[in-house]
Amino acid sequence: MALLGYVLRRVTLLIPVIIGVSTLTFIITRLIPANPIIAFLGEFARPAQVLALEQKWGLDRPLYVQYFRYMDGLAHGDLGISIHTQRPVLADLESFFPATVELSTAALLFSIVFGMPLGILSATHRNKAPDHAARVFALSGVSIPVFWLGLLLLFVVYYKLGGPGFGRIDPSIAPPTRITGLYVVDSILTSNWQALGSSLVHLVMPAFVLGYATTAVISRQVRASMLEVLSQDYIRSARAHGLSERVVIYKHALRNAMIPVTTVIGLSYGSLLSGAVLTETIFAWPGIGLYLVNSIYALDFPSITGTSILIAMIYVAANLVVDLAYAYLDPRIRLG
Amino acid sequence: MLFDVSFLKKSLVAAAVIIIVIIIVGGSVGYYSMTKPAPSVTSVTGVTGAATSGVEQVVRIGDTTASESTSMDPAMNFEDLDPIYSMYDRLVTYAPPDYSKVVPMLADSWDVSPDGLTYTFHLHSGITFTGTNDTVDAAAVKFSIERVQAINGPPAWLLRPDGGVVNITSIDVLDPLTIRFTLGAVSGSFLPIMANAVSSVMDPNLIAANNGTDFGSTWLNEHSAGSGPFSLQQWTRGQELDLVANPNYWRGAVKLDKVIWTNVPEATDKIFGVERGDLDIVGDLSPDQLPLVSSIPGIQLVRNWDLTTVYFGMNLKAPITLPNGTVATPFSDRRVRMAVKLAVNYTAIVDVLGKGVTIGLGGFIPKGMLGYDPSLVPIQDVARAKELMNEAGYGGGFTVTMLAEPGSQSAGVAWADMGLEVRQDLAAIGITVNVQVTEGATLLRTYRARQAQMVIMNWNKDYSDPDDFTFPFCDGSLSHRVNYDNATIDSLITQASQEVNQTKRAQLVVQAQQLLYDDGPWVILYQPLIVTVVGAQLQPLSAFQNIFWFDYWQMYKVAQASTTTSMIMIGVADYRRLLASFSCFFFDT
Repeated sequence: MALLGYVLRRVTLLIPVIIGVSTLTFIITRLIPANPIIAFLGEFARPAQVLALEQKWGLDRPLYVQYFRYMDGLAHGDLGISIHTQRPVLADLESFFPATVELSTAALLFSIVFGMPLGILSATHRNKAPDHAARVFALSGVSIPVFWLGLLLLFVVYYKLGGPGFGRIDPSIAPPTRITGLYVVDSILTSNWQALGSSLVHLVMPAFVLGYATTAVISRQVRASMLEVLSQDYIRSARAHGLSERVVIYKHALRNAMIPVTTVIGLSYGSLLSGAVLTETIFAWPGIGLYLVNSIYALDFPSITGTSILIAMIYVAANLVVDLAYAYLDPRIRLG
Repeated sequence: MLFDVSFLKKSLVAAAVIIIVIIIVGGSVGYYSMTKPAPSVTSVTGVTGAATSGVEQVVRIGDTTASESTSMDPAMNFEDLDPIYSMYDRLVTYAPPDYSKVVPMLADSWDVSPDGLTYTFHLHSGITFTGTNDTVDAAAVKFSIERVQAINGPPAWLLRPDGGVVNITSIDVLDPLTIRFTLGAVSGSFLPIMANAVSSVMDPNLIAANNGTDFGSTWLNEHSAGSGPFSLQQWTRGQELDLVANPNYWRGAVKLDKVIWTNVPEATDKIFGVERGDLDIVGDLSPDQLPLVSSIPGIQLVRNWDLTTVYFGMNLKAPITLPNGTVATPFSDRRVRMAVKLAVNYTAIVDVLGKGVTIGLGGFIPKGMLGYDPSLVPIQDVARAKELMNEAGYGGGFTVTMLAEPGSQSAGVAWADMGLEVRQDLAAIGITVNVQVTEGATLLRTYRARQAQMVIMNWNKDYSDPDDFTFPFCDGSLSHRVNYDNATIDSLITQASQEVNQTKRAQLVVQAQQLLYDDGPWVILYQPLIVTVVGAQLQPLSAFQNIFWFDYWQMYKVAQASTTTSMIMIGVADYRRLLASFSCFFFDT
């Protein structure tokens, strides 16, 4: 029950965060000395046309009226109408967000699956060849620019080897019927195995590119906290008791080393979800990054604000999950 | 114990195994499906049957139409109009590459009253809208134009009754196949605007049935209501836009089954995609990237001159500080303006920077449009330019700032590169040009506030009529921004605008250009070519010669020898390709 109360309290804290983010974004977008109506109508807009649209979108009202109208809509789950697409922002986010969720989740899975063993390997073989190799791998991960890696992989895998290329699915294969918007999930739900195969192979490259830096960070974090834990007295005691190295490493050291790693993983997920712009551009991935870039070009205030709120919520949610995971990993931590 | 570590270990191992299995299985399935696609295949009749049978008749275009287009309603959209041109027919159309006159489309013929104020169109009989049995008649035309005026969206400025380019005072249905437009003033722009996407003829019954609260505008983003060769199947925003063939197109059988606009913003993806055959049509590549693509066997390049004029302007009233400390307005002196025009090395810009994607242009009317004057060729004469500077009293030179946008002109020539060429040329006559790369919105604001000393930009067609160029360059949006006014030229272009006889009209426009070349504030640099990269399977290239839209309904795909030859060897050309793709990513973004 204490946990439920804690979660409820944290979720309630979302409200001031959303108000803060939307207010800030609202003010910043309105401070830009440019007119979204001119951007929409083009250079030859006649004054009467501009006036008509100003009235339609409420941009003729004083700023504070616009603000309270927006916040009122927000309270009712209405993010407004996108100036660029002429659709509700919520509908736009619904159509663009799943692509990003799919890509970021794949990238995070990739980072965990490769980053954790690599970190453990580094820690157990400290300053030996595997550790050096892992260090080089990690250093490359954080140093190689995403676009460079992306273009290089596209060139080799797609262009030279004829493997999967850009986009979410092979162009000759129809996307699965939309249920969740996640191609992998939708293909499984509709038993569309051809679409599943194609969307999975199309995920590999962008997920690797997007997740490489995170893999590096996770592996370094695992290594550091493993080394710290391995120098603790109880590890020495465990070894003295004759426990096998496997048990010592996996049963006693790893779990205790997981707390800082969890933080990194949680925050990485947030940044993966919101920071996939370059990867999405290179791989023509129709996600939230692409949507945000188009919205900014079109001075589409409602879309920019809506996307910012979504990204803020992702961060808050990721933080909450991290905090919950602490209690799970270390029973001494009490939430509430 | 709340948490068993062995669980963590096991679950990690399990997750790794599952993911690896999924990737391997999925990968093999995916590769299989990619190497052995099972598309729906149509044999095209009427065109060399053997070559097209067994070939998937689907064309994929790699660009940003699916993400950047605002609407598929002709009354709401003024950019990325290619799909709209394929879904809707208009009364008249163009016969490219000549855009100086219109030819029949839905209208078989038309009569113009001697005073040029009334146009009576005679519609082709027996045309029905796609998917319904509604007839394309005069009432539908009237409905469509009045709908644009009522919605008052981005393209409405072309034909609004109050203050539009064409002042249409009334539209009368004389009989089901005859419609009369009455104009408030003579306008040469009327027929070209009737060929523009804004004048698409729509099915009134279909729109009425799906009217909603916005004249059916939202509905039209998922459906179409035209009589064109294709209709809208679906539009997944940001991802793709699919058109399917109209099986009963009145102008002839449509050979393709589908046309798909896939969202591909990145130039590298476009190049790789078209080479691998995943994309059939791509554009917007820079002059540096084109040689990479054209070296691929079978790839076809189509070059069309765009109705666009690239220029730089000099502000007559911009205060400029001279070396002696006094402030003057050197560009108000005709001799200084002429000296600048004579100092520019046009050949270097067109042939070196343009690298085959530009053609030289002397007047502001681009080639292909009524009033284009091929005899007007800009010349470089630095000696004469220096004399003029001395005569005008500016022998000591001065320093000006030239605003240029980041990125490239539509043909792919970087604005800053052109600015630097001009800087080098004008240095020879003592003028120091500081090229200031300024973000588009800021640049336009300064330019519109008449505060830019020099601006390098282009003027792009809205519709194919000289009025769309004469007024901005001589007595309108552009000339006002550089504080230029010339009563003689103004009266010439007004006369041209109201002239019904097109030959006389062309002469007046040529005359205005010659006067403006001698006196005006503009240095006309070139006309860009639009280069389209067409995949090896797509025929015929004549379907690509229109710069307003492509004739997808005439296209078909032919079988082609497999391109999956061993490409694993990486050679010098590959490194060049890779380097070029990195550099283009930097410059594009």
